[in-house]
Amino acid sequence: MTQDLYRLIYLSRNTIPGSNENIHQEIEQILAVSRQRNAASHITGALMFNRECFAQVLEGAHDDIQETFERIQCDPRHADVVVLDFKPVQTRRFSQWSMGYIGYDSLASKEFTASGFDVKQLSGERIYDLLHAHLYAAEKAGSSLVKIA
Amino acid sequence: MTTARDINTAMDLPAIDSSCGLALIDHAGKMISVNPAFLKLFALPPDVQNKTFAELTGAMNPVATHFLLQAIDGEHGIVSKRTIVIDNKTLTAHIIELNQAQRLMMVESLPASLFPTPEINHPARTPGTASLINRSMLSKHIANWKPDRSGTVTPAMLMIGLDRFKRINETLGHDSGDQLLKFTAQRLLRVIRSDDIVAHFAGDQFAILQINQNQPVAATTMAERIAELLKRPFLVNGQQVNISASIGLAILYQDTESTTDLIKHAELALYDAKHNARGGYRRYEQSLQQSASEQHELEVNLRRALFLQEFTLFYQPQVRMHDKKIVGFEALIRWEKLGAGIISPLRFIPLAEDTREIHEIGQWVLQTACREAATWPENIQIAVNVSPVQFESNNLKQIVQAALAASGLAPQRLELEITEGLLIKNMANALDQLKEILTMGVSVALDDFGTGYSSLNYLSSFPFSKIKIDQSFVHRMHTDKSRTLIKAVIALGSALGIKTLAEGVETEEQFDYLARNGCEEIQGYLISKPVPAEQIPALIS
Repeated sequence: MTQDLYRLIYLSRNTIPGSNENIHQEIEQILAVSRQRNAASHITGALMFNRECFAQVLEGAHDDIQETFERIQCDPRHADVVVLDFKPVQTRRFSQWSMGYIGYDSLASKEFTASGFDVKQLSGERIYDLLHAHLYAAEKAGSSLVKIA
Repeated sequence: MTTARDINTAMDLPAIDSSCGLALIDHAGKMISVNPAFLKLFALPPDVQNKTFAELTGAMNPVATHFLLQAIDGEHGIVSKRTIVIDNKTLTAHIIELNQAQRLMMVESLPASLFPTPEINHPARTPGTASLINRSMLSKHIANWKPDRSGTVTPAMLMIGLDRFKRINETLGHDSGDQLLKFTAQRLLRVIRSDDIVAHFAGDQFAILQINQNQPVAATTMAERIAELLKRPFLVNGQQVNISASIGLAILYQDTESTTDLIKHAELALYDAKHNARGGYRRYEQSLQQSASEQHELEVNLRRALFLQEFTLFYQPQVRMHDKKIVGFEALIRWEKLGAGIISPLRFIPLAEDTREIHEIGQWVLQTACREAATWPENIQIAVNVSPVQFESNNLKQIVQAALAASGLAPQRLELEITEGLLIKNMANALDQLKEILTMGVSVALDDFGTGYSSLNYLSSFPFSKIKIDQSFVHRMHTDKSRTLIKAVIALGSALGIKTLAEGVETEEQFDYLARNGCEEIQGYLISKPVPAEQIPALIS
């Protein structure tokens, strides 16, 4: 069980205070640290941020996800963590990204909020697909997202 | 400290160039001298003399700090060996007790794969909890505490109990339970300050000792943070697990006078939190000590009350409304203790249920009530309350049978009163037992109706002989809401062919309203308060 491939999808509420710029800086830092750590523990995944919420997908060995999630849980920059999905999977879908990122000015993020969705009503599967589709599209289009992804 | 200097000079640690980390530490955990390898292994700055590990690493490395605390405090012999994993390095330390004041520590780094994991060494403990100090070490830390000169800081104890942890063990297995404890320990280590001390206090209980912080702010802030943090989901064995923690606080000189009481008071506060603020925290106050002593005394007294014959039964008449004739009595237990007066069943029955004493007490009530009722005219019933706990041993039928046989009372004259609580917990088993009791000819009434779920499902699941409308509705009969409820229950009873009895009737007005709406029986002070057995003949005649 411990080395089996799992995927985790969770949502949490942003608690970073201050200006957009401050939030942006914090997120840059979160991404930098998580990419480094994820690469070391063979975790792949993606993070989406829409000012109020984080949505994150992690893929990797059960125990590595467990350990990463515990570290994330203790991060004071978010709260109200809701696990939408934690289950074994056959393959990785985010294998190119140690932590792909979609920011709040992106189209994907708008799909979360503009359509009037309550973020917490979104299913894990939909977040998963949305993240994957947009990261993939961004990469194809050679957008700046790729550089940070 | 001539000895310290002697050893220090005899072993010039800073000059020892070895891959093995060496440190000479005093009894309080201050570094006397270390070699370069030790600095490297724990990533310490060069000047460590007279500093504790906690002061040196700051919040950066709580795991290592605890490891060292353990090494210093451990009740080991002359030599002991410990292992720890820090930053993917497995460190193994030999600690040699040189004398009372000094320990020499030798630390080596081994590749993780070469070294058995702590889990294998201590199958009963998980790495997370094993890296914490235990209860006796915690006590030592408190005992060694000395007030600092400024007097602005004072120690605080946070006692953290996981809620419903037993349930996790039962439903997901002990392996999951152990993992959960490990992650809990890790979360605690992540939020504490470097000079705080975390202990694995007992099975599902952890303690944090804050030594150098401004109180009560530091303790309450930490309690809130921990309560919130432990509510967040855990991932255990491929699934999501949610728990919560209740926390008790005791702060020296603010809540508690002496260091010796700090742990005890934090535990009392935890007990209070578990019962009155689950998932949150409570601070110790003196009344908790008092109520704990009272509760303990009550428990001790309850254990011998049966033997000392301190229980008696009182009987409250149940009257048929249309001719105001007494048709039965409800047996009510009364506990009168010499010197303590009358103790309310509201206080001692929940305790008796907790301690399982209710089995013996319930049996005594059934026997006594049946024996008493056998002396009454044959058209008068006896109603006896049965606790849900009495169903747990699966022999209630035998107990009822024995009480009937011993007294010679006809089963048709006995009615058991049960509450919805019984059906909520384990409906299928309870119904099975009730049906068996029914076949003996004994009837069953549903008590306190309207106060719980009042589910129609319960009413249709069993042929109850009676629904008892709770007295709180009768007392509030002046409100529209209560009147509507009473009418609805009576209508429900009549539709299902179940008799209704209203409890707590005190006025003619209440009587009239109930009679008008088709209630069949009443019980209450309007007719009579509960009376001792010897007054019954006078009431019946």
